[in-house]
Amino acid sequence: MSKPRISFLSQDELDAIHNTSLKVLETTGVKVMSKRALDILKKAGAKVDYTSNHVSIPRNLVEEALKMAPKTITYAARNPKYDFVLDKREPHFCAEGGPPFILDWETGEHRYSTSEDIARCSIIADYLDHVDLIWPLGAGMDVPAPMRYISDMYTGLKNSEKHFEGDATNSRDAQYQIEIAAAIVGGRKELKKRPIFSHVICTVSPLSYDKGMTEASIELAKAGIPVAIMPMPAVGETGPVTLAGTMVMNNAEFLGGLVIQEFASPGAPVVYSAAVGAVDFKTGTTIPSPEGSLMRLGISQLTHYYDLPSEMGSSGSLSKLLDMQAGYENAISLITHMLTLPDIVLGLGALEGARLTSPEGMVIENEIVDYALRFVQGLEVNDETLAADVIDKVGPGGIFLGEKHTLKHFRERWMSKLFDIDSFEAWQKKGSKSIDEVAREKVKEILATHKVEPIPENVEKEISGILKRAETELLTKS
Amino acid sequence: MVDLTKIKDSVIGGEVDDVVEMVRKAVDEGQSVKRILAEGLISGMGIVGDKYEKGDFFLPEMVIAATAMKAGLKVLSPMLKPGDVESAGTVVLGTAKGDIHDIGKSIVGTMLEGAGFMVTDIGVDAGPDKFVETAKENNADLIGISALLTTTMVGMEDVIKAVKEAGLKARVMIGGASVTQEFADKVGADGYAPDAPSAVGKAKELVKS
Ligand code: B12
Repeated sequence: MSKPRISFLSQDELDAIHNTSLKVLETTGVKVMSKRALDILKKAGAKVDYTSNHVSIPRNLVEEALKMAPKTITYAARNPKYDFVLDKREPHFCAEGGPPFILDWETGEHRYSTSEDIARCSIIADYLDHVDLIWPLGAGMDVPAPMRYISDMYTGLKNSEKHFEGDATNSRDAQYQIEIAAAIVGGRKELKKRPIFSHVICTVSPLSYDKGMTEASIELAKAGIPVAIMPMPAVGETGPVTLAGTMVMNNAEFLGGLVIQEFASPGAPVVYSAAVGAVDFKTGTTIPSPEGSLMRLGISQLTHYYDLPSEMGSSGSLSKLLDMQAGYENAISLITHMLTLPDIVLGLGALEGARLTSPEGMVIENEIVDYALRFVQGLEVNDETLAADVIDKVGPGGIFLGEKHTLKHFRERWMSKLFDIDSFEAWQKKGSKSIDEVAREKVKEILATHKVEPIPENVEKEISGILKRAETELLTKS
Repeated sequence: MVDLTKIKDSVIGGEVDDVVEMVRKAVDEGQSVKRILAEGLISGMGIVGDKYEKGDFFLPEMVIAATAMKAGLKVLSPMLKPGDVESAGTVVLGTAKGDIHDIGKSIVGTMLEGAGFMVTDIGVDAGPDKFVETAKENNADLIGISALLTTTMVGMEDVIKAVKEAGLKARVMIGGASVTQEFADKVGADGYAPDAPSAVGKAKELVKS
């Protein structure tokens, strides 16, 4: 099988990015706001200054961390049939996490999202065949703020049987999330074997590590929960204006995070993530752009260079509605990302730069992924596929439709399940619908028919106990 | 004698060292501090703001000009008397407790500077006390709070309460990716703006009223 792939950086160029990143970590150093992480780094042999939080990370620590990091990771799921392995063989897709707003599919209103929205979007994501893991599409604005990351996770886990991706901004968030997941799989040991959730933890470009997020990731490392370390340097803003320079920044920050994770808990499952972007210098906003894609594809190539599991942020769309811009931005991003074969591509179902959830958008992107997955599979050239015999048989002017060769292979050919291919009259007869209307009907149909296996009653009880404890602690503290 | 229009031009060009050197020299020559500020620094920044609005200038040019302006101001500040600074208003700007997003906030700060405001940026993860103290120290006309997370925007309400309790004259303006006008009304903010250019408009309006 010949598969279309992009690998445009040469070995020398990859070496240069790697070596420059190591130099940055050692010479420029990083700022780590967590005392706990500073202790870990100091013990590992880094040069640590406790008053300025500055750390210089020597080359050998990075090399050791790269050796300790697992090359493949299993993302387990509540239902084991949805388990998958990050092993650089095929891309998987994640629903986008945390947009504060939702484009209400019933009223068309742009409004704050709720736990109910997360629940319904999780059911839709559970149904869609190409969504392999779910970052909660929304924010439970009905839940008190200190409980939100914990509650949103439980809402997601309850309403889908697939792997869950979470957020945490402090170690208490992480500890309660670990407890909830452990209750579902039957204990912490089992959770370590079958992590049914993972996390995305951001570094703070340039070259800084926040206290809360870093401590959450150490907590997760110890529990065996995979953590995707996601730097987000923006060209000319929180990273250098040159593309290679911003890639260096992303890489250095990832490697620094990797060192913390591996020395906190040797062999900790860490995933290489990148949300580098190019910005619009008028507004400062990160935009879907050819340059953003180039950097992300380059970094995806770096993850192969290191042989580490990867999870790439998609460039998404800044459109506020499901229009042509949303369609092409998402399609270009999804297809190009897949050409470097990352393990996971993030971002399904979001608009407005990850500020707005669109369930219909997720349905459409699921179909774009279907198209793109077929595209990256490539095509085969051999005697059977060259088809000389059947060409000879049909000859000039004939038709292939009724041939055995056609019958044998036509089901291998890609067909759209969603996009409009009708004649004008047939399309008119079906109500002259645009793709977003078609997707909206699909959303309604899924919600009316798709059933998610509930969490057993005794486990639910245990979890409500955990949630009560969390509320008592987190809501009275502040 | 240092030509004040040269200082202005160097602010526009973002020549930080030149601005500092010329401001020092002008002070040594005994030129009016008030005029150096108004005709050199502030008017330079004003032109930068205009150029941005017209689409000729972009953020990097705004930011470096603001740096040059502030470097010049630092030279002047020991000599400034209360009435000397004829700014559009004094602003204290920061990101809410628990939140470390600062790109948008910093851009708002630069634009405000471009429009002639004096801005003190207290950074990220800032609680009510920090806002109130800094506002008192600077006798601020306006407090700007940024929050990007739905979990941290609730902290804006605490700042607003603290500002009221302290009896400050400063008005409060809020913004950030998760914030809406509706939310701003609910927590009792005096103003909201969805982006930096409209934040400038809102700031002018609030300072006047
Ligand atoms: C860049 C970014 C980051 C960077 C921040 C870097 C930095 N130095 O600021 C990093 C990587 C560190 C980061 C971390 C996190 N982030 Co973040 N981040 C973003 C992102 C992609 C862009 C924000 C941005 O810089 N925009 C560009 C600027 C120019 O726009 P802006 O900030 O909106 O500002 C404009 C206006 O809002 C307004 N404005 C802003 N402030 C003010 C103030 C006043 C007074 C006024 C009037 C106006 C105003 O004017 C500005 C200029 O026009 C947003 C998504 C988005 N599209 O907003 C997510 C986003 C805000 N992050 C999010 C999350 C979840 C996180 C993390 C928890 C992720 C994680 N798992 O680690 C952490 C939390 C860290 C913390 N404790 O604060 C979520 C929030 C979700 C929610 N429901 O609350 C978002 C929405 C993305 C998403 N869907 O997941 N993030």
